[in-house]
Amino acid sequence: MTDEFRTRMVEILPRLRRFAVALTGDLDQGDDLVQETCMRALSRVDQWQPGTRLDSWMYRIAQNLWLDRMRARRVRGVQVDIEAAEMLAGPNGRNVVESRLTLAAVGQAMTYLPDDQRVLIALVCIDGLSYKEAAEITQTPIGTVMSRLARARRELTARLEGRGRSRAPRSQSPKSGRGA
Amino acid sequence: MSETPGISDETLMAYADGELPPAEHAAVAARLEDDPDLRERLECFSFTRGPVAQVYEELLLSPLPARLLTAAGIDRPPTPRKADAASPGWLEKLLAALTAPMLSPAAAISAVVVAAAAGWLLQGALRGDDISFDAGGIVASASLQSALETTPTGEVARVGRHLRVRPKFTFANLQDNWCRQYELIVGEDMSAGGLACREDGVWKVIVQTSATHQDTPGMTVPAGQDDILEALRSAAKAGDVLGPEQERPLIRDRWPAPR
Repeated sequence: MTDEFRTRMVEILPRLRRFAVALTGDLDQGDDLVQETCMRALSRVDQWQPGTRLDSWMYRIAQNLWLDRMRARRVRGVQVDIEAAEMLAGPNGRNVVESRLTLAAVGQAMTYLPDDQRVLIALVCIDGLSYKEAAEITQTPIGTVMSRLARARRELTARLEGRGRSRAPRSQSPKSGRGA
Repeated sequence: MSETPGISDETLMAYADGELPPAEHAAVAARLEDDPDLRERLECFSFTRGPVAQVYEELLLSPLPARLLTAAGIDRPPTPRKADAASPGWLEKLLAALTAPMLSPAAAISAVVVAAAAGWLLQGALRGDDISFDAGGIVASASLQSALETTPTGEVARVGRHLRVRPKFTFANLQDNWCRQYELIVGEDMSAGGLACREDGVWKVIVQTSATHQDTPGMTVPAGQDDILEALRSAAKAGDVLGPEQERPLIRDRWPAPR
C-alpha cells in the first residue's frame, strides 16, 4: 500500500462519510460503514487501478457493503419506527417542511425509498455527481438511473411534505442514534 | 402528478441538475416561463438538490472521528486551536507565530489528515467563533487548495455547494512563502475572512474569522475582524501586495518561490 493511496483515501473521507450517512440515515451507522469501507479498501488496494477515480471505487465498496447489510437485515426482520417521519407532516406547505429539515428527518424519510433509489439520491443530489458517474458506480444504465432518480425525488419530497403513501419504511434507523 | 406533454420528469430533472444540452435547456426554460404546472413539477427536483442536500453539508464541515482516521491508517487527528480574544496577548502570540519560521513541513499523510480537519476551521467560522487559527497552518481542503492555487485576486471560485472563496490579496511573507488573504462566502449573505500561506506546494489556512451576515452592501467582513486580518497581513508580508500583472505568471507557473 502506498502512502499516496492512503493520502487520497483520507482526502475522500468527508465526502464518503456524507455518502454513508445518507445511505444509513444515521451518523453512527454511517461512521461504521465508512470504517468498514476503509478497511475493505485497504485490504483490496491491489484491486484499485491507479489512474482511475478512487472516490468512485470507494463509493462502490461502501454501496455494496451497505446493500449486503440491508439484505441481511431484511432476512432477520426489523422493527420500524415511523414516528419521526410522521412528525414531518405539516399543513402549511414546503416552507414549514424546510424549516423542519434536519439530518434525522431527511434520514428517516429516506428509509421509505428502495435501496437503489437511496443510493442514487446520495450520489446525485447529495454528493453532486453526474448521472453518468452515478451510472458507473452503480453499474446501471444511465436511463435507468434517471428514471429511478426522478421517482425517488418525487417520493422523497412527498414524504418530507407529509404526502407520502402509507407504507412501512424499507429499513429502520435506530431510535437512539446520534445526529441523523 | 401529471406530466406536461412533451416534457418528461426525467427531462425536467435533468434541467434542474444542469444536465441538459444548452439548446434543450433553453427550450425547457422557455416552457417554464409560461407553464405554472411545469414549474410545480420542477419544484421537487430543485428541492431535493437544494434544501434537502444542504442538510448533509454540515458533515463536510465536521471533524472526522478518530476511529475513521485510524481505519484509514492515520494515528492521530490534528488539534487546531481556537484563539481566545479575551486572553491577553493572543494577537501578539499569533503575530509572533506568523513571523517566526514556519513549522517543519508535515509529512504528506499528516498534511492530508489536517485537510480532513480543515472543516474545523470552517465549522468554527460557521458556528460564530471569533477567530480560529493554527500557527502551523491547517492544510486547506482540496477544493480550497484548488481555489487558492488558481483563482486570480478578485474572482470568485466555488469550494462547496454553498461555499465560495474570493482571494483579496496576494503577497510573500517573511519566510518566503506566498500567502493569500481571502473572503469566504457562505450561502447568500454570510462571509468570513481568512489567510492562507503556501508551504511546500500546499496551502495552509493560518487564520479564519467567523462568518457573519453582510448587513451592509459591500461590507464583507466585520470591521474588527477585518482589522485583525489587515494587521496580520501587514505583519507577515515581506513586500508589497501583488498586482494582477505580477500574480498572473505565479498562477500560471504554479507559484514558484518568491525571489
